[in-house]
Parts: sequence; structure tokens; C-alpha cells
Amino acid sequence: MARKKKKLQKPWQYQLSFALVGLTGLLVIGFFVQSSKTVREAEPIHIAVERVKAD
Amino acid sequence: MMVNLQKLLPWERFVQAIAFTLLVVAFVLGQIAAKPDYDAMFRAQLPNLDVVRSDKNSSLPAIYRLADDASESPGAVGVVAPGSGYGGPLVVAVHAVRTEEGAKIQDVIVLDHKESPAFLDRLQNKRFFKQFANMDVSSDFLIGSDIDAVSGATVSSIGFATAIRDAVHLGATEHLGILATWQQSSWNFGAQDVLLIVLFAAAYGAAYYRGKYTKYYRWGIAASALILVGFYTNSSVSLGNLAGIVMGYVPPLKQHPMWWIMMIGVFGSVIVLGRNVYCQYICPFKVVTDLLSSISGIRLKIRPSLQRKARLLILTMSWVGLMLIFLSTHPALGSYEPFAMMFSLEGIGIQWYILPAALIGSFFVPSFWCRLFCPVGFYLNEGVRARRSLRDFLFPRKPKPPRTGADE
Repeated sequence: MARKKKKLQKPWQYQLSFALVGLTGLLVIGFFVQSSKTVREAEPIHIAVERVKAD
Repeated sequence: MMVNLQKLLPWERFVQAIAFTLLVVAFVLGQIAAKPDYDAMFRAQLPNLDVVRSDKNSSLPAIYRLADDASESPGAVGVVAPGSGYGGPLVVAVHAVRTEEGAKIQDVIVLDHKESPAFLDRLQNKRFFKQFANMDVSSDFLIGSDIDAVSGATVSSIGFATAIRDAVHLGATEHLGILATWQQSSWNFGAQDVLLIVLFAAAYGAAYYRGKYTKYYRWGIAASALILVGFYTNSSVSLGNLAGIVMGYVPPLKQHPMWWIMMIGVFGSVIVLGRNVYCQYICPFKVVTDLLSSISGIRLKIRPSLQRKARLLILTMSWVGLMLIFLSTHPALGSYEPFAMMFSLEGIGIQWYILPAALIGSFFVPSFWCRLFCPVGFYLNEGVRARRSLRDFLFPRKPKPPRTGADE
């Protein structure tokens, strides 16, 4: 029985997948930039202070 | 980072050594810098009160006598106490005042925590902390009894509730002279923990089961994982969890059995079975992305040159993430995965864009996130490879004898 020939992907399909990877990668870099700003703050540990006052 | 050194070029080995050294330096610097002054932070939160520390020891928990500027109220107490969340240690402060109706909680202050911002946002939005306001200090403060957990942040709810409970009860007995009439804390072992054990047992079985109903069996596990690990407990394993273990953020078994079940289940499969059961069956994000891929039916391929660099891509991203985690001692700051946000729909800043990008990517490219971005899957698979290498080293397989005509 003849082997099923592998379907080749068109160039624009590679470009689309590459663009998706690039976009997600850039967003992850953006996340690191956002986080590094928090790290550089004077009190990086003091991230959330919630005060609950009795009504 | 399990990289076969024999395959690396000299300059690659040099870069790897520098990267590892920087991680160690970041870890040490982070540990030295992470010494917040909780005493000052607590005082800053109660500017109108005269805050006097009652106990003499400098460590936590700390008890404070509080008095109003105008009218002295000796029946007020403040306690700063440590606890343990899913992401790491946390510190809460409580302020309770004796009134005619009994001693009541006036303030609950979260001074420090290592939870994902998504979890804390969810707790705040669901008014979790408001439940404690005006409660009597003799209350049990037990999840499922007089405190409700927030679904999607169940483990964080348990962590904060336990820390607040310990702080309030300490202040009540030590300073307000109230006798302990509350229910003593027992194991936080609930239905979700039993279900997680069952889920892991089913996943371990699925790794070997081959039969007529394999497909349905696997779909059943996937659906259960999505509901339990995803929507209900939101306890996906992230880079932050792995880094947390390195930093010693191991919660008490009694308080967080789910964390232990998850970690034993995840690493147990790698060490004992030599398989990455978590990524294959338990990860709820993979279930969602596989579902999207099935719905779309689109199976775009990644350019082979890019696919070959996927390993370097994940290593680089996880290195940056680990540097941020070690420097800040906050696992959530370097944990770039959108898992927690996916199931709580709470996030901060750019996290809102990573999730849709990962989902859209999965719509077109099968296992988009898992193959190209996920650090947890990468390190677990490296663990499987390392185990295999160790096994081959310790118990080398005998080479098969060459086939002869007599064998046939």
C-alpha cells in the first residue's frame, strides 16, 4: 500500500504560526518588564495591604 | 537545567555557567534583602492608635497593646502573625477590641503574601476578608464552618483564614484573657483533597491502561481535572511553585494537604513511573488548549528552525522568571503562565493579554503553549529524561544479540 503523502504547509501558514509565537513571546517579555518594575520598588515585599474595617 | 554538557560548545557551557551563577547570586541577594519591618508596617496601618508591643521577642507572632489617642481602651489588642499560603508564607495583622457584646475583630490587614495577584484579587473581589469584620474573637474561623472559601482561590482562602484564626486566638488568650472555647483546628483535609488523590490515581492508571474505553477514560480524567484542578481549586502547578520549593516555601501538611498531594503526584510520576503524568492528564490548561485545538481542527505547524529553538526559548524565559522570583522572593512575579488567571479571570496588567494570545495560539497550533512556552512541562520532561539517563547508567541494558537465521 502506498504511503500517504505528508501534506506540506503553505508559507503563509508558517508565517501565521511564527507571528503567534512572536506575539506571545513579546507579551511574556512585557510581563517580565512589568514584574521587574515591582521588584525595583523600595518595598517589593509589600505588595498588597488590605485593610478591612468593621462596618 | 538538565542539558547534556557533552553536546554543548565551549561558549555555550560558559553562558550556562554564567546563567547559573547569576541565579545563585539572585537567590542569595533576595534572601538577604527580604527582611521587611512588619512592626513598622503594622504601626503605619493604625496611625490613630497608640501601639505598644507587649511581648519581648522580636520574631513573629507579635502581640501589641492598642489604645486610642482620645480615650484609652485597654481591651484592644493587635497581633501580627505568620501563615502559609499556596505560593509561600504570608503575614497578617488583626486588631480586636473588647466591647459590651464581647471582643470583636476591627481590622484584618494583609501585610505580606506570596500568592498570585490573581488569587488575592479574587479574594478581595469576592469580599473574603469582609467575612471577618466584627466577628467575635471566640469564633472558630474555620473554612466550611463559619468562613466560606472562595472557589478558584480555595487554597489561598484556607491559608489566610488559618493565619487570621491563629492571630485572633493568640490575642484573645494572651492579651484579652479569654478562655479558649473555640473548636481546635484539625486537618484541612476535605473532599477536594480526596478527589485530587482519586484523580492522580486515575491518571497514573491512564498512563498504562490500553483498552476499548481508553478514549472515554482519558476524556473523563481531563474533564475532572478541568473542574477540580482548574475551576474549583485553581491549583495548577507553575514556575512559581517550583521556585518556591527551592526557596523553602513548603506549607504545613496539616494546613495544605492539597499542595502535598499535588507535588507528590507530580514528582512521584516522574521519579517512580518515569512519566510526566501531570502534563498529560492533570494540567487543566492543557485540557482547555486541547479542546480548542479539537474544536478548530486547524493544525498549523511551527517552522522547524523555530521548533528546534523552543528549548532555548523556554530556558531563557524561565531563567528570567527565576531571576525575578529569587530577587523579589515572590514566586508570582516571575510566573508568567496564565494558568491562575484562566480559571479565576482575575489578572494584572499585561497578564490580560498573555492568556488570549496563548488561547488563540492553541486554536491554530496544537499544544502551542506546552511546546513553546510552558516551563513546568519543560522541567518535568527534563526530569523524565534525567531519570532515564540515571536508570541506564545504573542498570545498563544488555545489547540485543544480532539476529540469525535460526531465530526466524
